[in-house]
Amino acid sequence: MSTTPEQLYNFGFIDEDSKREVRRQILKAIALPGHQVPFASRDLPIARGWGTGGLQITMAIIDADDTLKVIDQGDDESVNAVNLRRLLQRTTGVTTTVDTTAASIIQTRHRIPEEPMRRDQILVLQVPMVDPLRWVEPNLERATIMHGESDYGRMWVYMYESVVKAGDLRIATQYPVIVAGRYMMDTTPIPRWDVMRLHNAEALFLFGAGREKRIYAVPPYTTIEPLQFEDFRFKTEFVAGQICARCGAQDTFLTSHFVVDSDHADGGHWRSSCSDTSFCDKRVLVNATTQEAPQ
Amino acid sequence: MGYIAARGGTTAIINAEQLVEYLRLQGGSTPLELIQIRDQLRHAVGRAMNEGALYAPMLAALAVKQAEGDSIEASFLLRAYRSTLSRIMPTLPISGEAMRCMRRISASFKDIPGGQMLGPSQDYQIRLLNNLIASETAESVTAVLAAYEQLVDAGMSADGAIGHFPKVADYMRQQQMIAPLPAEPDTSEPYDITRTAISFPCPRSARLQSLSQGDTGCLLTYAYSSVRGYGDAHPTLAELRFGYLPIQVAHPLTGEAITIGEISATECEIVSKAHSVAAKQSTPRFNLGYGFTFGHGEVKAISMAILDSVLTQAKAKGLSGESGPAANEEFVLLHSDGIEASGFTAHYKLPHYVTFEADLKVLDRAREHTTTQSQSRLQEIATRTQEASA
Amino acid sequence: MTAPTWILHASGLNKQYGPGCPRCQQFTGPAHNNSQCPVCNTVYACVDAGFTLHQGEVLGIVGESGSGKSTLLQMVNLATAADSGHIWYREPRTPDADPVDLLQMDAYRSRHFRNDRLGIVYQRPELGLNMRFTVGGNVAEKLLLANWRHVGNIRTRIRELMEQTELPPERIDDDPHTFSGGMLQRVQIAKALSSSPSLLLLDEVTSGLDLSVQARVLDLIRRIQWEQQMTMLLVSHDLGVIKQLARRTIVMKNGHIVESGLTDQILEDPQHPYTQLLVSSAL
Repeated sequence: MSTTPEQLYNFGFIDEDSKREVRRQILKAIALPGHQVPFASRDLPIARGWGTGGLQITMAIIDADDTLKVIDQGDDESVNAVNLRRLLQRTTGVTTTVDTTAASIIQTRHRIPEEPMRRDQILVLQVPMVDPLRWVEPNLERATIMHGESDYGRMWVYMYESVVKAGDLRIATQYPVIVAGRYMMDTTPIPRWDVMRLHNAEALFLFGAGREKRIYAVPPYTTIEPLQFEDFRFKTEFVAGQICARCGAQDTFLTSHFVVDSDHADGGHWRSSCSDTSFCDKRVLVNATTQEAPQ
Repeated sequence: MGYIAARGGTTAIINAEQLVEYLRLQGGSTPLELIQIRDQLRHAVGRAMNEGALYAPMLAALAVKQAEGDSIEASFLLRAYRSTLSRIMPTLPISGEAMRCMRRISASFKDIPGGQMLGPSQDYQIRLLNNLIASETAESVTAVLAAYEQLVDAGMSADGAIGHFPKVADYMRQQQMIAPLPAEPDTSEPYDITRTAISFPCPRSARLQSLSQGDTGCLLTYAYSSVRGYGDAHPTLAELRFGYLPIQVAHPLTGEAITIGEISATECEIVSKAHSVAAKQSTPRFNLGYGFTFGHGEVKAISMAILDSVLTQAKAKGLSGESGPAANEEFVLLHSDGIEASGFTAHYKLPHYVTFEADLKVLDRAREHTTTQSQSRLQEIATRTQEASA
Repeated sequence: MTAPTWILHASGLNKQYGPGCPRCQQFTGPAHNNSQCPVCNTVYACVDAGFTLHQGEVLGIVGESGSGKSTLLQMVNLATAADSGHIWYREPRTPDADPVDLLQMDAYRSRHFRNDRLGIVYQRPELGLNMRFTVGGNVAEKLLLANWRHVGNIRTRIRELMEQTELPPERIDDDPHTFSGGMLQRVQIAKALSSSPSLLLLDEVTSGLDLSVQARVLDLIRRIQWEQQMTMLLVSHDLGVIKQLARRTIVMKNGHIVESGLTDQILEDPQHPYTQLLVSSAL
């Protein structure tokens, strides 16, 4: 076993038996893409709902040779990302990075990095809500039977009603998808922008929900079909002509920021830039060195 | 069946009280000073104040001490004491904008006008038991204070306040994400649930008042059930702030606003994803929920804001319709007062000899009835079988 | 030899609630006017029931409440698991294929069979409908399960079904709570018909409705039967309803089938004493 910076704790905080249990459930989840596998979620020194599911997966699979990246909302410097990285680093001593391409494990909340992930990389997603059927059937026992029988009629009625009442598929995040033609899966609060990036991807995606005590997975090269209608297609947040105010990227997911500017009436103004900050920084750097003005 | 009613309990009651006192003091440790409780158990004090619905930190500290840390009991003591006070006048409406903030965060935008201020928060603390606190000494306390003193010398505010900030909700109103404030502010006196019993349907002021003195655990449970599955709340935290809020009253003669002091308070606004389609033609907007507590009670303020939004949505019969227990206003408001709920639940300890005796009679009769019935059925079948075979 | 015309052939269906004991047989059954064993409290809901249902036929099941008629219907609906027995089903669209025993299907296949090949209408609309969805959404559910994925086409089909069941199609997006009892029965019928099922199950569909409303719902069912040659299994405690709709009838009492035959014959010349009582009290 590797030595840890704080000898009081095991490598990766939780004990080896618990880690093995988590790994067993991960294997089961990979074997049944999109199926929610129950696991004995341990209590961590982080509050429930703050990423404990993702953390346990990372803790169970991480090795001393791994290079870790932790993001929240695409941002490496977001407070929660900083905090989780600090815990993982303290209890494993692994190398951390902000560069997507340099990481072997990326733990994330709400985003998939913009740079395509490779087959030697694993993306661990923190999941708040596990079951897309929760909206139409909060009772777990009944929802489990519905998954077992792929009885998704009621969920489809929900989609139909959303079109009828709001004129569109009114689901912003947590978009439901069918995995490998079988299980309906919650995509966690990743924006719709990222949903299709799970489809037939090279990397392994592991989803962990600590409070709800479930693990599920999308293995490499697995099909993902969002719930949609022929006349009401699934749409991402992409708006024609959108552009990142920092790096000039025209095909990324953007978030709004308030920029302080004393000349302005409101004391500043709003602008949009890439939510994936490390990707954006890289491009800014490249733009600066090649002396190319952003488009 | 003989039940002997316990009577003549005066001595027993007095002895029981003495025993409680003895249990509290039997270890012989130094008695807690109220000032210690106020300063070092600030969440216990805050909870007693907001559930006891009386802003009085030292009295709340006394209540916490007397209740031996039981939060419902402490707020009960405080709420009972409140009945001895006369209501002089309502304060003037205050906006959270007037708060001298120690902390203000938003989860809806990464950067907000004025910026995110983490302030005093355990949110990102790795929850490991801290041995150092167990072995705190006068010297270590002095060292911590001295370090902060230096920061104050370098320009930080002595009471932790960072300053005044614009409200995120106001920005959202400007952007028409949420409904605008009414053009004419409602200057009528708010519903006071301490003067008028709550009746349904109730105005929003009654709902907010009732929620703000509700039991933290209860509000948390209802709000959680609504976001987890038994409901249709999709909240996003527009803003959470904690700090000092000035309290003003109108001068009885001149009508002029006079600041009479400051309270420490937590304020929360959440917006909910479900669009309101109460009026089908109106522009879809987010729905706003409001939460407020005395002291530093973030979980309660967030829970309250979620419930406010869910209840507003349910009243408006929004897009998703009302669903789940948390969308039932009567259910939520009538069961969330911890003092009422614990009082009634505890009352089952009172003698119920008379009612139980009546229940026993009913049970006896029911038993008799079943026995007779089953016997007569057997009898009937046996007779008929005999007849058939004969 | 001509191909058999039956669509459903049930035999040896049993359903009991309770452990059973050696004295059960001695005390239960129509002869004892009793379904529950007074010794072990086991209830015999359905005992050795069987029937054949032909393509395009309406078979009535009549009996008082507790006679086992709804249990029998729910076993055919694959919602109540039979303790033993067979329900052979011959798919009318592929008459040459071998019949399948519905009770041997796993949960997954039986779920899809129920959705696709069966339609059911309950006495209480909230059992058949999801009152949180719109009327259109309720009718759409089976279409969506059958992979209809075009909202426009789905809505055209819903409107067709609403017209067929004499519902105003412009109320497609209304809340079912705003519909009257009779209208809700029509919504249930529209939903049941949406997948063009082989078999329609009707469980006391007009009980609890006003007489005039009842008559109109029965008219509708009769018209659908006639126009679509729909095979139906109809449960009712009301001989009047049975008489109007069913060609053949099964009479149940205390979990047992006590008599079966052509409805007219049963009404004209009841054989079993219980049927005689039933007929004389109804007429």
